[in-house]
Amino acid sequence: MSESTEAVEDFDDRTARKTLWRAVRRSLPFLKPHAGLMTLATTMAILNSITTIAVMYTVMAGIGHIVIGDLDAISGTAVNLVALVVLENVIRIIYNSAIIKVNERLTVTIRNALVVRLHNVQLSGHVAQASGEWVTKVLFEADRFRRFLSKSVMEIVNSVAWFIAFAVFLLALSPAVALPTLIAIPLMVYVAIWWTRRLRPDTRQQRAEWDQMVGYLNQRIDGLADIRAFGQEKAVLADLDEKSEQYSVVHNRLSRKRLWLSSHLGVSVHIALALLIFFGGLQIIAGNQLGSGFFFQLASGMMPMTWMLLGTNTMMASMGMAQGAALAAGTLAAFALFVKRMLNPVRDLAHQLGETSDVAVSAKRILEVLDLPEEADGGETLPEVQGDLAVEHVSFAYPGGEEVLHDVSLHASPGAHIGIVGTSGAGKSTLMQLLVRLYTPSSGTISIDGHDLAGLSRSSVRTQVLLVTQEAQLFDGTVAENIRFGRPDATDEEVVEATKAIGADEVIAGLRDGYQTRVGERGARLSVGERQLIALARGMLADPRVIILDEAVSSVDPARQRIVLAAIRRLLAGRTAVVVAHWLALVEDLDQVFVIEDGRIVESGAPVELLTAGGRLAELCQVQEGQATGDNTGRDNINV
Amino acid sequence: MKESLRALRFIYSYPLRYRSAMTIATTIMFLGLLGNIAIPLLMRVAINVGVLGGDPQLLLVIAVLVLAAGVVTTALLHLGKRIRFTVASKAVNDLRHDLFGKLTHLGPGETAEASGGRALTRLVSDAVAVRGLTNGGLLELLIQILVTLTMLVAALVIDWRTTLFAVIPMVPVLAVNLTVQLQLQKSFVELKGQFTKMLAGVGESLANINVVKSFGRENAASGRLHKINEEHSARDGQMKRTYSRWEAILNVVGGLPTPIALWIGGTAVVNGRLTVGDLVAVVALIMMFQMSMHMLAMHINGAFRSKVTAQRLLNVIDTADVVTEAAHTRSMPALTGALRAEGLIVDIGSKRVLDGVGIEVAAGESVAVFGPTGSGKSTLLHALARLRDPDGGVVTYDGIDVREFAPAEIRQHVVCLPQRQWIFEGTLAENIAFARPSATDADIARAAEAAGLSHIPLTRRFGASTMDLSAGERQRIGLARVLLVDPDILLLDNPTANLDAETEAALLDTIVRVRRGRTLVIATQQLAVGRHVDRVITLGAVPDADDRSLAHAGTTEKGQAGE
Repeated sequence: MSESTEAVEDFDDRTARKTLWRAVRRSLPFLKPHAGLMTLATTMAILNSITTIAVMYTVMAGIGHIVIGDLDAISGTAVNLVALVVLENVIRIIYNSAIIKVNERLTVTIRNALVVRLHNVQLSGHVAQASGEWVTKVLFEADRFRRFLSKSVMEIVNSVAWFIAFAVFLLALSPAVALPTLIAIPLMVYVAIWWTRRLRPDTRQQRAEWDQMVGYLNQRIDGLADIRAFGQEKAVLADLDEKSEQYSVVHNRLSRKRLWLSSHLGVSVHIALALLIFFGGLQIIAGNQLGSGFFFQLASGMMPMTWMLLGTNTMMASMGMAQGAALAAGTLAAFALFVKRMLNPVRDLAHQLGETSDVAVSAKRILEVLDLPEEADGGETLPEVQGDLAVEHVSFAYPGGEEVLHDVSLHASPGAHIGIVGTSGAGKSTLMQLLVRLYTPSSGTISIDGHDLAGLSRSSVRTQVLLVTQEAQLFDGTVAENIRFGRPDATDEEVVEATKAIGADEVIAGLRDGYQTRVGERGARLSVGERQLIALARGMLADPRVIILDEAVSSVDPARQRIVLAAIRRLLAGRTAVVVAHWLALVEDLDQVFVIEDGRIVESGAPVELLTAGGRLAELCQVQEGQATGDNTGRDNINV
Repeated sequence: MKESLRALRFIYSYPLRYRSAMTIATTIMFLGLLGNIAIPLLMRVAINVGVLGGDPQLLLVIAVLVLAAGVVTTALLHLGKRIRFTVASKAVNDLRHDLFGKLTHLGPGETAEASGGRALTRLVSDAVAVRGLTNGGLLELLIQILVTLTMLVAALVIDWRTTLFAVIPMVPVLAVNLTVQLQLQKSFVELKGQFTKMLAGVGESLANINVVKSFGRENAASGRLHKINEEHSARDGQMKRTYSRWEAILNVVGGLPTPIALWIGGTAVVNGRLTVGDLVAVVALIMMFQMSMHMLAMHINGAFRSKVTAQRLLNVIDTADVVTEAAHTRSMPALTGALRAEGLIVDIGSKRVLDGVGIEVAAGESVAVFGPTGSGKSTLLHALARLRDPDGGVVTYDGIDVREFAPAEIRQHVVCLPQRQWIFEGTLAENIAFARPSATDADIARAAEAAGLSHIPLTRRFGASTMDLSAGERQRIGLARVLLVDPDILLLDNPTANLDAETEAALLDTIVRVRRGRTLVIATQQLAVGRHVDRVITLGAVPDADDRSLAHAGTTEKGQAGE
């Protein structure tokens, strides 16, 4: 969280604009398939503007009829108005359907693009650690940006369409009415731009403070057990209140500025109305008619549809006989009625401008995901291998980090089981990730049957070389689905067979719903031992030539340890295996053991030799033996 | 229905804590909206007298008045809104305070159950829903109703016939609208659920990215999310489409008042019963009335939706505290550290975690509690430290029932260290001092040293995701915290889990050092721990994970950990 916070703070206006543009350009391919629907929506937006003007025009004409006293025409106007309302809503339904469809598809495609990118990304410590942050990016930021793409863009189109239609209508109708109203528009736009500039830094700061508070809360929820254990509830609550207050200050400042913007816009509307009443009224009194013949000619040319719909012919005839001043009063009244509605789109546009800096932040975060380096694939396909694994002079540093492996060499002939032993942080996990090509060595080579991994397609490597990690990560779903994860086409029988083969069938069958038991989010409903057995069965079913196993038998409860250990032995039988071993019983099974310390191999050889020679391995095992309680517990249970 | 009302009452109680400010804001906003009604009335005079009567001076006066009304209205609304969002911020902070306060009174099981596993969402977005309610909620609804009625009355006074006919279609519109909103509510709730599912799915997939990559199943994993994503979006679209259709129908019916007013009012003008100015005023008022009804429907809709959120929040608030503080507590004497529990029964949710467990630890004795995952070791420690009151049975310190002491005071004498130490963003010193904020720098340095942390500078900062600390170092930070509190009884929950043997041995040495004569209970699965304690107890294995009723404590001889 904190990293993004800093990033948001030094995000100036120019960068914001650039980022937004880059994001929009980047998302054009997402929009492209919906070009048809977007065009339809735009057309409907324009038609909607025209219909609204037609409504105004009809009301205006209606008041004209009323002034003249033409009863037939009055009821005609009422009918026309009803027809227009129906038309307006038909247009709106089409518009909405198009927009809803676009939204639906855009949401799916943007989210999917982010999900795919995150799954194919080149692994780095950062990606692995911050999964919560990615979730926010994929769901919340993507939705915000999508709203901008569809809703805001459409609203801007709407407003502009309306503005043009309205200005043409007004000027054609009467400059006397048009000018005071049109004066308000640049005023409103100016006010909007002025305030938008002042809103931007606050918007960004609010986002940053918000992220900070969410991060803060997230950490406190994480620490609830400790907060209670040390009786620090009151202190933490006081701290939380302070953080909330801090956020409120920023939030309220932003709200105040937004309020000023909308109040200024509100006053602008009233200025327009006052000018309209005064100048419009004066003109009428001076005997200038507001409705000019030019307008009707224009209207007939511009809107033949509306023309027919309104039956303007009759109206025009009656207008000819109108008393000028009274009719003009009708026009004035109609405008007064609609002045707010006329200026609303301008107000909305101003608000949209205010939102853009907020969207720029979302855009930036989405781009962070889309710009992540994708894992290189391609290369040769690894043919069926025997399983001869060779690591030669491999050194490795994580992107931007220090070197964590130095000149590591080891070799496993087909079917051999080698072990890697060392204290935590020695570089064991890194080495394992290199072996399955989750990373590529900075120097040196890793090869299988003489094929350099770096030149092979990652998918072909991973079908024959499998990493089974100690976290035994499961997905929400059934036990069977989790076992099948590596080979989705496996039949139920094959799933059971694989489980039986590692001797876990009884345990699995003993679960509440057997193979159909739901494991819960990340396997939370199962015990550690059960989770590990499922991970081992998954490996068995995938049937790789080479297994890279991070053994974690020690975290399994004693009752299950023997079963897990037996399962590991069965899984490894007949395959080349690299085992990060913690258990003495397993170490003794292995053909050769490499002791790794600070990223270097410091000792290697057959385990029995190493143990009797009294080197580093013997030292490590001695600590473990010393810790074992009682002599009657048997070696299998000694925690190494 | 009763539940819904309770939920709404609960939510609204927060802004209503600032009753006077809300009353002032409401009054100001009501006056402001009334100012809006002045404008059609001014228009009426402008047309009747100014334009048709040919009085330019009056026009100027009216124009100035319209501007003045506009400015005053805007200013009043501005002021009212400003008060309101300030109150809203306070209300959100209060609610967040209460929610978090509640969470500190729950155990982990209860927290997950009460919040549906999403405590953060409850604290963050759900709490913010209150802001929306305060800004546009109940009071807005009230104002809107009042203003709508005033508009109606003003229009009725000018011409009751026209007004009456014009507003008739609005009645079914409002009724149908409410019905539709109620219908959509269900979809809304389902949609929320689907979104939560999606959140969990993405989180899970990314947390397991190693496995996904190991099996080369990137496509399948993202495909699984695509599916959830599709379902969510489709349902969302479906809901919006349904609403859009209804809205169109309602708009058509709701659009009838203007033509009706023009027709009936227009006829009245022709018959000489009304003037053009009157008609304009009536039509303007009716148009405003329509708009007002629309807003009213929106507010009602908002209230319906917030009810869902409110109910979820209430769910958290309603969960019983795991520790109930007695009305009268006695002050705690210096403890010898003798600890005893008898017949402990603990239910978490619908599960019985402990069933009749007893334990006795003499002052200064050290005991290891063994038992498989799920046997209730942690829960036992929680009961012993009074982090949870058992549903049955009793815990005593030096023979005194723990319920006679205030929980806050117990923490000064009894510390139960959780399995995973919490490291928050801040320096090492801040992290240690968390246990006793009043600790001096010298105290902190001493504690760090004694806990074996001297290799890390006290000023070193940790980030939110502390991958740079080893599991052993985390435990040592916990021990340093314990040293600051200096309790009489120390309970440790699985301190050496996931440690390699060397680290485990060193940590156990430190634990022995830190213990220094305190009563010590360690819950553990590591047999090595047994060598460092006076006595070992085994909490019985439960053959069926769903049936904890067999949990039973038995004691074995020193050094013999039974299975």
